[in-house]
Amino acid sequence: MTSKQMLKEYTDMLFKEAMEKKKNGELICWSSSVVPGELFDAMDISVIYPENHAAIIGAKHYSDVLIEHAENIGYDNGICSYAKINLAYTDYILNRDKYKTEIENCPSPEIPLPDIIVVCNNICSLLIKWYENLAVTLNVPFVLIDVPFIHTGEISKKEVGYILSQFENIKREIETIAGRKYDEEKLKEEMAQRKRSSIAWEKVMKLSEEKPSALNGFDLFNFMSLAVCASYRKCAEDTFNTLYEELKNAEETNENGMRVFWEGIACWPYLSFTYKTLKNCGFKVSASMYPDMWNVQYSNMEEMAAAFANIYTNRSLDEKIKLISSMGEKSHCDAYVYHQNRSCKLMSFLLNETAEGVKSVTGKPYIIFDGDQTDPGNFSQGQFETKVQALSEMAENY
Amino acid sequence: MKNINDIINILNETAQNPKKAVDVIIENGEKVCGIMPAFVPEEIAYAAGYIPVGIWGSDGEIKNAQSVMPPFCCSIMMSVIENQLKGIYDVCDFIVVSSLCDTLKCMGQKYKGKSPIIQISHPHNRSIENAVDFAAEEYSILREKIENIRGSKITDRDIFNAIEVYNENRKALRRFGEISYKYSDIITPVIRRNVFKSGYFMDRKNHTELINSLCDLLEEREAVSDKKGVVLTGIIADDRKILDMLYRNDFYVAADDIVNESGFANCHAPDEKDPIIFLAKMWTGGKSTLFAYDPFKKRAEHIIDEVKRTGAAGVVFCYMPFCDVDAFDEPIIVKRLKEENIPFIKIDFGMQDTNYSRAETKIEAFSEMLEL
Ligand code: SF4
Ligand code: SF4
Repeated sequence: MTSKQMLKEYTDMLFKEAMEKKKNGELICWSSSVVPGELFDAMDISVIYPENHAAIIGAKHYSDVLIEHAENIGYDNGICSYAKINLAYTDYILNRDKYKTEIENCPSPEIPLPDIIVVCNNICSLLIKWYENLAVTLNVPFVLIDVPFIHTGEISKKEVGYILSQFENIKREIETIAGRKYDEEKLKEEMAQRKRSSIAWEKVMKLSEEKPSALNGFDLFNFMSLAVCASYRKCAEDTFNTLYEELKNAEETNENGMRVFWEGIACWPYLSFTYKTLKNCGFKVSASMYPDMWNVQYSNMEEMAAAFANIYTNRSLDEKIKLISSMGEKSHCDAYVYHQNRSCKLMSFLLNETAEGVKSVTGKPYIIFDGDQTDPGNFSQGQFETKVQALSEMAENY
Repeated sequence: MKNINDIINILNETAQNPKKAVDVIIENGEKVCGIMPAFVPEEIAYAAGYIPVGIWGSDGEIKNAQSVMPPFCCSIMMSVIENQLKGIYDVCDFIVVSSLCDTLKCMGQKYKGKSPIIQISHPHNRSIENAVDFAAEEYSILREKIENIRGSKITDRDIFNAIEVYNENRKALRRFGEISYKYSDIITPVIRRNVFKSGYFMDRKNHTELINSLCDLLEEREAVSDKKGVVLTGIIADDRKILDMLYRNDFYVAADDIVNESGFANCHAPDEKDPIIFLAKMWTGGKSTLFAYDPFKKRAEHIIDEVKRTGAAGVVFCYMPFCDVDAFDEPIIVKRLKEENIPFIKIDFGMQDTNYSRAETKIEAFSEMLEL
């Protein structure tokens, strides 16, 4: 199988497996996207990632229907579109008879409702509010892995201790709902698997450091869903290894073109438009911090706590600048594209400072464009095109 | 002894002219520091000899902030950035900010005034045992950073004294909150706001004296009940024009669930030997559900309890546009209020761009509806 076939097969399998488990009365968990999902999977609780599900809906151009429904059921226009999509989808499933057509028309695989939900606020705090609403609406237990914002310097023992005690609490909560003792052995196996998958994922990402390199950052956006949903499963490792071999042996198509750093989430409804616009202006996306968020490697619970707190979205401005500049330089980026995401305060409110900071390190030009990861109404094709053209001129004259 | 109007005038003057109030503090030779939202253990700064001043934005036009902050930022922080660009907060020796929401996480990194900024993280999982240790360590680092700015150590005794000052102030404010609604002839919504707000711009010790005297004098009066009570809920309810509209339409504030009003007053901690643990427990044992992880949406139940306790006629949701806390709580609160048959209205309390004529129409209609 090619890596693309593997990606499709395994993604479909994960959704199917969850639906079947639900049918058989087994447990389902909904989780935010950067979480040690193996804590649940090790106890045979299938984990579904609503952000990933919302991204699929966005990429398949159905997000506007759900976003409108979320606003009709009382959600403010100003909240994250992933949350809107998921809360609207939940409402559809809860009122299946009424929204039969909408569910049928929804191009994503169907997901079962959860028996427990979990958030790690390492990517944002909005997730806490979103899942509180799910907890109350669905009347299910909500466990939070609160990783404190690392506002200064490095993570320290105090954060790790606090996070560790939460892991223990979660295990107890899982034992309660699963009705059996926590399976520490299986957890260890899955943690080891996550490490192997992350190493394979990292190897793929590091291809961007080579010159020439057949890797395109948009491939990473596509394959990312497996990194999000299945890093603790072997299928993720196998797929990334296959992808690596394919890319290693392929020829670079943009050998003399310019390399660009993409900062922020992809605009899923405009994935192909953004790809083509960049390509037409001579750019290839070479690097992005976003896919790297699922490169989390650890060997024990303490390292797990540190790894999930160290996600770059949870770090100070100075650290972000260091990490982006370093990745951009290693990947030989000629320019930087920053996504000011209407959905995402955390990834938008420091963009000016981040972009200027990175520029002071790398000297390379940048643009900031307005967009949204899943709300098509917040993205302007014209603005994106004009800005990318301007960037290409700046980069060429650099 | 001051009469009731003298006291109210001082509180009004302070709340309505914070800049002047802060200038007076500085002219008197005291040092000030800035405290941004929310639940910052400002007792530590007070113990170090600073008068903590609340930084919760202000009304006034936004001219320059939008060049550095995207338009989908809540108006409190938009206004803080605007004031920072004007240098208004540069009188502070330092500023402390929490990381309780995404906007605040960014603000702590973004703030570029002359005063150094110190950021702290609170634990959201307040019931976890280690949460106290984590908060205490964060607060100890805050203490050290303030010591470095001041150039000398802060003793435990000083922090205990500061805790005492703040506890007395919170107690006085709670007392005021419990009785003020009976005197709606004199305690208008704006005056009620000013009672709470003035505390952010004066020494809490002086504030306590004023509030206690005010309460003593109020209790000598006859209780009145010629208006309709409402419970306010939200991050802040600072818009004077809207509060005036409520009064014009025969409303008084029966109780509030507002972060910088009762949210401040309701903080309370059990006695501890270590003053930092004491402060940490004030957060981890805190009742306020605004800002904190609230998996059962107790905020909605708290509002309902307050309506029942005070016999209020309805609820005013003082909504902060672009605030995720309010945006997600709203549908759940609305649902619960409907289930309980409690009338409510939602009014935007953004500090800029408020559509006052729309707000007035809504408030008038709400008032008429409650008459029926
Ligand atoms: S897009 Fe931003 S706000 Fe939305 S869930 Fe992701 S990190 Fe949070
Ligand atoms: S809680 Fe809401 S109002 Fe307060 S800073 Fe955050 S976004 Fe702004």
